[in-house]
Amino acid sequence: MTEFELGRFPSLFVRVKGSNSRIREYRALVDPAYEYCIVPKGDAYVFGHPEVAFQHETVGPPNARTLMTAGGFSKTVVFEVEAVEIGGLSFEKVEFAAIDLPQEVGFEAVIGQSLLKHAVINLDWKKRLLGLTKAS
Amino acid sequence: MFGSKKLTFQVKDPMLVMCRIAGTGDRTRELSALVDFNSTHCLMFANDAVFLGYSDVANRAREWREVFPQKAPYLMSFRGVERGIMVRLKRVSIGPLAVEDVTAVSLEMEPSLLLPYDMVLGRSFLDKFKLTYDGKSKTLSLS
Repeated sequence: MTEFELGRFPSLFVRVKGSNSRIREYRALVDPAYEYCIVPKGDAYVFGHPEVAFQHETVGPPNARTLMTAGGFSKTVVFEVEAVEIGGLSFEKVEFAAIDLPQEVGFEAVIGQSLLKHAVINLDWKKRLLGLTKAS
Repeated sequence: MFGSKKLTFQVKDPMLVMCRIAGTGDRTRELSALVDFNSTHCLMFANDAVFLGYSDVANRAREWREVFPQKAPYLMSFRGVERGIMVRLKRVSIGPLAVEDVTAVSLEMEPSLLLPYDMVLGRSFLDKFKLTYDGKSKTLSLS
């Protein structure tokens, strides 16, 4: 089990390793309401997915998806990364969507259902602890 | 698990639950709610708040803020910075778990009616509990 301090918003330090072995580190928001984990479009490009630039074309790339979000419908590209490391835990072959979140949100990345379906999260506001365990 | 202080239930994707809101007088509504611990307050539609007796939300948030700044907070969401009118709900309950005096905000720009929920259960309700979410079995526990 990995534990983090539960701040104003539940967030974790994560290390994402792309399928081309490039690594990016983020302070990511934990949000099970999101179907996929999220990274910015620029980082999806770094992870070897240049198709993020073509997702809005009439005939988009085969991995283009339309998602329903709080802001309405959003078109994005979905891709798989090699691994996501959170503390001592490692999750392999996790699906990510490339979305640029509004800057004022303060987070570039989100940990969504595509990773959380393999995990158990505990939120204790009294002790201000966020716990993450790999589901057995 | 009715009758105890712990409630475990199966959730769908997204996490939707039915909750009961008690407003002023004897007015009550049962609403489909999205569990979102990233929302600092509960969020609800203005027409539900007015039905529950909170007619303040019928005001324009921009003008209401000039008179009562503490009752018209700015919030941050994935849509950006938003503004709304805040009310204090008498009682919010899911099964046997109930919290009294819960803050809720009716947003100036209401969420799309396409979304499959009537309100958002945010931290003004959830931070009274210990929350466990098991992504594999899709169960949510509040204790």
